[in-house]
Amino acid sequence: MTDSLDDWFRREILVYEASLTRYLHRAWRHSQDVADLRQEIYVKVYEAAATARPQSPKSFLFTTAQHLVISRFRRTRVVSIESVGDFDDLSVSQEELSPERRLDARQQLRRLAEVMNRLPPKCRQVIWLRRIDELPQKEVAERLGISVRTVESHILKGMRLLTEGFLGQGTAAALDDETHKSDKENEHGQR
Amino acid sequence: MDSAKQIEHRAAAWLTRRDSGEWTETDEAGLRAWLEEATAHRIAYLRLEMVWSQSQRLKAYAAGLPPGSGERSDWTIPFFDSRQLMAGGDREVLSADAKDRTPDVVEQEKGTTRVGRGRVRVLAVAASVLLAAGVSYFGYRWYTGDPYATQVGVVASMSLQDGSNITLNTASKVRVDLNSRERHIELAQGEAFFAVAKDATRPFVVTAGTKRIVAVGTQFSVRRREDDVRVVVTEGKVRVDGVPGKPGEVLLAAGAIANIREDSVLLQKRAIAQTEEVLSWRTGYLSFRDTPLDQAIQEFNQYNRQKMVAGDSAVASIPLTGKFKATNYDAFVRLLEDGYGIRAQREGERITLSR
Repeated sequence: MTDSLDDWFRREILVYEASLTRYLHRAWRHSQDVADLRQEIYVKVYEAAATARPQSPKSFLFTTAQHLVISRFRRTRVVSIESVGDFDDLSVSQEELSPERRLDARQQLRRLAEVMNRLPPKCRQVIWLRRIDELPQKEVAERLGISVRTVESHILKGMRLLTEGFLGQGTAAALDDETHKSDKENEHGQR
Repeated sequence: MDSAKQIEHRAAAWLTRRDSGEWTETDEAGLRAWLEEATAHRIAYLRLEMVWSQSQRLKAYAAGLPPGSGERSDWTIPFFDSRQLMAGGDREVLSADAKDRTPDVVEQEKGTTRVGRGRVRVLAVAASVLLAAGVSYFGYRWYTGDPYATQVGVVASMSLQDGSNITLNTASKVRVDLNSRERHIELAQGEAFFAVAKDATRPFVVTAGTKRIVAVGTQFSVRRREDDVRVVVTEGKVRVDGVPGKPGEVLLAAGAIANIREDSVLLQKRAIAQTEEVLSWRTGYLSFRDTPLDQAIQEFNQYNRQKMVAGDSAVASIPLTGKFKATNYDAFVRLLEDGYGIRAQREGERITLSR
């Protein structure tokens, strides 16, 4: 049963991650909180769905998001003089609720490739050898003359960046940011 | 709750460990415990695993590149826009190649040896991809008769130098040979859909075993299972040679579905919309309309390593209607279980369906 709940979550919720992330960035100005907010929303949706699957997963997701943002907003902004504009931003727009243009398999793959190309070079090389050439981690390390631990750290980084780029494509800037950072980290951290 | 970043980091560490090939029962137990600990853990893991497992599909893009991508020092995935493909360059390549017949032949021999060594290239998802490594490079390769193939569960399309487009269904293989007299595609295995660019001077010929399907500018598909050939025409006209009992040729118009066997031919006339439905695999879907279950699972089995079998004839004849994602095997099995009260018994890669 949990397995099919996982499938449901992937199919009906995670596919909207890009829209959800965009919404959160718009409604909640502190972008460093967005990942945490998103996590909290996902947890609420997942746990609610464990009891009963919502009829319309997408609107349930965005309603949950909106409630959370509003409650946060109330909690943090104790001073009650707010500009009207701020409240407007909390609403879920028509665009977010309109049916998502689901990508076909080819478009998905293409997006994946674009994200792959934005990975830091070393990281991309490791992912390439592991996923495209299907070499085991050990052989990847031998091929590149680096330690298995370093390969692991590239894979760990790579899967996070691929995930963020692929699911939350709206956050390209954040990814590029991380990409830079991680390249530097790796230059220092290796060998 | 821990921060999303921390949790994601730990989830990624689990997944990386699992990817290492040294996964033990203790690890498995540890992961399970961690996933049970908090919903946030499970979700972080789900997200990463979803994309990580998909990342293997990037293999399709690396088709035609040697392992380790030696030809591409920057390790980026090459791809062009389909719009760029249509741009002028192609024509020039074409004529340049026509002049260079000799190198083609040499290349062809090389191509054959390579295949002999068991390296059949896996077709890129967009053919444009192949061309990106250098239009001229792959430009003349199109003339070599190299095989292009898709793996199980993959549907891929590519553009040819003449502007035609081929979409390959799951586990299919074609050889492409464009020369000055004709455009020749040999369907070695599986099914392919062709959108043919008009070129009255060079007919577009698809061979499937002993059958020849000839088009000038049209859209059609050819499926081959052993010696049984199915042709579906969605636009224009095609001619079929080598049909049993018809010494001449058979002309098929849009809307025609022809099932050609060794000793018989069955022609059906359908509305164009219905023929499009038969070809919904091009977008990754299978469409059924009162299709008996055993036929439906036969279609599904083509896309998946797991194979379904109908346990008895009552189950085999249950009519199914709907549109399903070809690779979403689990969802299909679940639908049968929930919606039709069918029991699915799994043994390795075999799933037996019974009531």
